Amino acid sequence: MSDAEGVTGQVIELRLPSRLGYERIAMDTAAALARRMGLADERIDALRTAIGEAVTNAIEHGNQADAAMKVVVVLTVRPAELIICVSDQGRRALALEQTKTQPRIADAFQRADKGGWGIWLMRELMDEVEFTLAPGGGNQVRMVVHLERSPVGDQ
Amino acid sequence: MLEDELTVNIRHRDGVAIIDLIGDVTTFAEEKINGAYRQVTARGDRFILLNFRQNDYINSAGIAILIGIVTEVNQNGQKLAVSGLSPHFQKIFRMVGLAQYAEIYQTEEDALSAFRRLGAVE
Amino acid sequence: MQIILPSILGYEVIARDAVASLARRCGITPERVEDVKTALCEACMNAIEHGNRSDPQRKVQVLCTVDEQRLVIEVSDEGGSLPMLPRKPVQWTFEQRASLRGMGLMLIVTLTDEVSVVADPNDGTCMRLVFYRNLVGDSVSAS
Repeated sequence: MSDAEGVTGQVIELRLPSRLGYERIAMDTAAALARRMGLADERIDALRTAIGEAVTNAIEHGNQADAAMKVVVVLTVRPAELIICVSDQGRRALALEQTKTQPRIADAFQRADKGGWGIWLMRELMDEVEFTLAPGGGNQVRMVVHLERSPVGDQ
Repeated sequence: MLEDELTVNIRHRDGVAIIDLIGDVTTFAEEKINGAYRQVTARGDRFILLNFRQNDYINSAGIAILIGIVTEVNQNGQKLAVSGLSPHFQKIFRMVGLAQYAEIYQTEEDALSAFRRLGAVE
Repeated sequence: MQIILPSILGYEVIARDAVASLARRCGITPERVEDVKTALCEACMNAIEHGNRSDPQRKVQVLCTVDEQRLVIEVSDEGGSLPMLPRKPVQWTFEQRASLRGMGLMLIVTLTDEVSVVADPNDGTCMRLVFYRNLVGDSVSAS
C-alpha cells in the first residue's frame, strides 16, 4: 500500500461560518466523498444525518451561532474507514452527560422541549462516536464509518 | 437560500387532510408545519396525512417539531399518518419511536386506503 | 467557506461538489452551477499539477465568498508558477501548442465572468474566479 493512500490517510478540511444552513454543505461534501469511497447508499444517508447533527450542534451550541466563528470539518480517508472530525471554537462547552443522552419519545410528549435527539442519532448511525476537546479548546466530535467490502468479488 | 427550503400545502381527499411537506424539515420549518396543523385542526379534520415530498433532510430539530404535532394529535383525538419518506427517514422514524404514533405508508394512495378502512369518508 | 485539499488528482471533485452545493443552495441557476463546477475543477487541477507539482504534502486551498452580486472562488496553491491566462474572448485553437493545461485555462476564461491570477502572500499562486449572479431577490453571504 502506498503511503499516499496509506494508514496516515488523506485529509480534506472544510471551514464553515457558524450559520445554520451551512451544515448542508458539510453533508453534501461528505456524501460526495463517501460515494467515491464506495459506501452503500444507506450508509451515506446515515452519514449525512450524523454530520448534519454534528455541524448543527457546533454552530448553534458550541459557537452560539456567531457567524464569525468557524466550524471545522476534517474528513480523513483511510483504506478501511472514513473519519469525520467536527470541531467548534467552544463559546460554550458540551457537558459530558449531554453526550450520553438516551431520549424516549414518551418522555418528550410531556416536555415543552421535544428536542435532544441529535447526539443520540449520531451514536445510533455511526460506527464510532467520541467527544473530545478540540486542539483550540472547543468541542470536538470524532465519528468513524467503517467501509464494508463484500467478501465475494472483491479481489 | 440556505435557510428556507420547505413549502407546505394543504389539500383534502376522501375525508383526509393532506399536508404536503415539500423540501427539508429543519428548525426553519416549525411555523409552517405548526400553522398547517392548526389550520386543519380548526377545520375539525380528524384524519391527517403528512406527505413528504422532495425531502432529503429531516434533522433532530425537525423530529422535535413532528413530536410536537404527535403530542397534539394524541390530545385532540386525531389520527396521523405519514407517507413519501425515504427508506432512511422511515428507519429514523422507527428508531425515534414516531412510527408508533404515526403509521408509515409508502405513498399517499396507500395512506388514503388505510384511512378509508378507519372510517374516513368523502 | 474554505476547503483544503491534498495535491492528489481526484480530490478536486470533492471541492467541486462542496462548492456546487453552496452555489446551488444560494440560488445560482443550475446551468451556471455547471460552469462553476467545470471552471473550479480546472483551476484545482492546475493548482495540484502545476502549482504543487502533485506533492501530496502541499495543499490546495479553495476559498468561496458569496454576496448579492457575485460568487468569488479563490484557488491557491503553494507553488510559484503563474499561469498565463488567455484573453477573452478565447480563440479556441486545438492544434498549435495547445497543451492540456492550455485547454484548462481556456475553459476557465470562457466560463468565468472575471478571472485573475495573483502571487499569494505565502509564496503560492492564487487564481480568482468570479461569477456574477442573476439576482432572484435573496441575500446570503458567506465567508
